[in-house]
Amino acid sequence: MASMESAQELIEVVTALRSANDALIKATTSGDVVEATRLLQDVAVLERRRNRLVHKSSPEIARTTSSYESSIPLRDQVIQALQLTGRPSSARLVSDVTKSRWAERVDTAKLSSLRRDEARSWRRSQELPGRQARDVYVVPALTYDRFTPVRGTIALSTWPTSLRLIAPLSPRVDMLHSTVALAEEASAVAGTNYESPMMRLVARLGATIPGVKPFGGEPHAVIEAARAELREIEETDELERSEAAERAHAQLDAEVLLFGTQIRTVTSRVAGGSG
Amino acid sequence: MTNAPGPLESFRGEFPRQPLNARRVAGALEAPGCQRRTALDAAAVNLDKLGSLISGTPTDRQSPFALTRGNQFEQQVVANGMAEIVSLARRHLNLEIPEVRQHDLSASALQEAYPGVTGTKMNELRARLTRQRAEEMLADPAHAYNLIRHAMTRLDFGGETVYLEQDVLAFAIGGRIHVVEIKSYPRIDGRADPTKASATVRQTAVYALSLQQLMLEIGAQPDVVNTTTMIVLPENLSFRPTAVTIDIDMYVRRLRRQLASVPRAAEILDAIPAGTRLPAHPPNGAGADELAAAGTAAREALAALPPRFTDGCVSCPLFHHCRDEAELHRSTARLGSAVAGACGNVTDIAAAIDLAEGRREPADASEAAVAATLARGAAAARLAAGGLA
Repeated sequence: MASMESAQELIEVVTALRSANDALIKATTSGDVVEATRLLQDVAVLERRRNRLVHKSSPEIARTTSSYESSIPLRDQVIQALQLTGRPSSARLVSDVTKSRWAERVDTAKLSSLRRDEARSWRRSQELPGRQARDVYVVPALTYDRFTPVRGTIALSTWPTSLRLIAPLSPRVDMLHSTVALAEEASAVAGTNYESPMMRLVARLGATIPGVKPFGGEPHAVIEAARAELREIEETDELERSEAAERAHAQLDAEVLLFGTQIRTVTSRVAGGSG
Repeated sequence: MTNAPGPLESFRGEFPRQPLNARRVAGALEAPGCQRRTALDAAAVNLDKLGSLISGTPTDRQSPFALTRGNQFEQQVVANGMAEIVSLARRHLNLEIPEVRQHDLSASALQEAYPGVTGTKMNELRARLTRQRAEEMLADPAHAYNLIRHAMTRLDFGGETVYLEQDVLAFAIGGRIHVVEIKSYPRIDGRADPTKASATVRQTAVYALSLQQLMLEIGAQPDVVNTTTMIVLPENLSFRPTAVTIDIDMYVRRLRRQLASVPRAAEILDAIPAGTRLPAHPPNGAGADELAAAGTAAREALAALPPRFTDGCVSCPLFHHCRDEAELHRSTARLGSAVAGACGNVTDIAAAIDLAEGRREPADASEAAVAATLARGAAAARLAAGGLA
């Protein structure tokens, strides 16, 4: 009977989940980051399968708040995507990456509330000495001159300050670096279901780089073309960013350094200044 | 002559205001010499609402689907560090590889830095920042921005300050500033819809002109602004962007002349009977009677403003009204610019026919010339009709 089969399958999945969780504890305590990352993904996949089986056998069981489509929390998806692109990324790129690499949908409209949550969580961790700060926060990228948040562009708090600051050349430099990283990932997932969506993403990004043929987004060609363009612009960008980072460290407190500042009351100058 | 509300404001009265934009300023080119349109534009009257009120057909002029499609295309083109724009500008505007320093002056981008600044204050802020960026381009080109998203410039239209938002400004270190305009109508097999294309060209001319004025303001030569502009369009039926460059110098010159004649708007309104003003627009859900009454009042107010009905009028929201009016007055303008031009100062259709048929004696030399032309035309028409019979 079908229900027997699915019951058997459920037992198997739960057993696998248990051993994956045990292994995860071991990997985390021993500090094996690579293994822990892999196991975390395994656990997420297994949990999704478990939930699907449970609901298939008895649909009346209340569903967890998130659907199967996104049983990985938004925050983790975003962090994963940023770790892959390796550079400050637009909400759009983050959602393209999660879709192509993990077939997960990220609701970009929720990113601004995620940003607020992250700032709030960070502040609380500072107020309460006993409370542990998270390892990583999703933070806004900041402008290199005024240190204000750049609209719709997010970064990870663990990155060096200079990478989180956006100088004039940075949008292009970051896009090229992310394209290189994604092209490498596309080669790495060759042979899996994710290969073709990743190739498409790389081809689309690569098409704007000089020397790449349209529709010919072959990863090696894209990587080479991106590196060639980077050679011409990256040095200036690094210089501008690191100078800005020095200023930032000299001027800003820890919170502003992560979450940026706002320019208040530009209009409160004495009236009658400019005509 | 009053101090508080000028003639423009008092004519508009309670009628909804719609700030001018490039599209509307470009409309000034499409209806050259129309005092009615000029006065309404200068008074910042909401023309769409006025048009639907007097014609009794409540229509929104731009489809929400078209707007969404336009926004989606624009978002795609500027995504990932303006990747598509960078690629197209390198190909068509000869931007060098390092010339990709970019900056976003969109209202939404600035709100991150300046929370609480909105409306006119935001426009002023953006215009000020655009001016600063332009000064940097002249002072230190190597460190200035090459691509500025949503720059904002100002233009004076009949005493009214118009804020204009450019899609992208491109600046080449060794060269000049170009206007880049993103449009979402397709270019199919290398050709775009000519009507839409020419509207875009005129709109872009408005941007170029305002930039030239900005250059004069900051003490630079206006020819720093290159009149070769890049228009970004979807290729064929896909969403893939492609670009065309076009020199709009002629349009910019024409527009400059046009704008120079605009201040007469105040004079036009001074010349109409005192107290002529548009009615307040009935609220949403107002009854048919109320709408009809307001429509009549609006038509009466408009009657005081002389129109100039030409072939360019089709895109004006008041087109139907003015056409019906021309027909009612049996004006030669109703028959199109070519006929109206041939008829010279004879503006009445009946008079023109009489002249052509020889039933009426020409009153002066110019009427005599018109009569000769029309008589030849009439003879040709008779011949043609006779030949067919």
